[in-house]
Amino acid sequence: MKHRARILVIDDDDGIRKTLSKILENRGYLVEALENGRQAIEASNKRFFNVALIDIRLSDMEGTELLERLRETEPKLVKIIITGYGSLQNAIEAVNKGADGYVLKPFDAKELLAMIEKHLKKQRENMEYSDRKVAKYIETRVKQIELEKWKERAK
Amino acid sequence: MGQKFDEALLKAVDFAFDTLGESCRKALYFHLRTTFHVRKREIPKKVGEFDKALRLIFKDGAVFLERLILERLVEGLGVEFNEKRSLDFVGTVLRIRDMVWERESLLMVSNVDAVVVTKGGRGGEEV
Repeated sequence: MKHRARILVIDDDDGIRKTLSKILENRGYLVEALENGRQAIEASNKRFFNVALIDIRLSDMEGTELLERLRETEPKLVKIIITGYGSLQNAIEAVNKGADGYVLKPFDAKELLAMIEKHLKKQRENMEYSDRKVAKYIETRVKQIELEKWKERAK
Repeated sequence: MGQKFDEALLKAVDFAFDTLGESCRKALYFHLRTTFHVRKREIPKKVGEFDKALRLIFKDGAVFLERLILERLVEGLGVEFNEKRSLDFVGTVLRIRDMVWERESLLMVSNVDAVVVTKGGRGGEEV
């Protein structure tokens, strides 16, 4: 069974939330669309999301503040800023604060999906690499433990 | 009565192991069984051995996995855990188990009361 990526959409504009949800669900992603930063933090504490699409201006906090807070709770989460304020300054600030990318409103659905897929591929590769490394550590550690036990018994 | 607790604990362990990845999850259950003699389904009854195994494997890093397990366990059972005392992993799991048992016992008692009232109210059956 293929794993379906979970995407968090955070935007106070109901129209944008619905549009993005439809685009992403049609592509097979599991989507949770929320209107503010507080709800996003609660949701990310409850379950793992692969990607978060964050509007730069939210009703209760700046999108860049949410970026930093999500980075603390879920470092593996891919964070993409959506900005209607397409200045280079906003984009630079977002990337400096931990965004993996940004899209400008009005966005092109194809470009957005391509960006998400590129990040998901990289995330998958990183996770697989880290899984292999930790599994290798577990194997090595268990061998050491068994050797220590064997030495204890041999005394 | 402890079935709900056992299931929630096993789910919490699964969740925590899953965060490490599929290979790690499988490796952990395999070594728990073969090296530490703790089968997956035995974890609720062998919390001490389980904790010891995790600490031997991950050393100080076991704390992060155990914290994840506890967070998920509390959430899964819907209990509020505000223990004043400082408890270790085993102590915390056992305290949460006791809280769930106390809650379930109270529920059972209140259900019995409800049955008595209902029967009396209808007047059809002596209790």
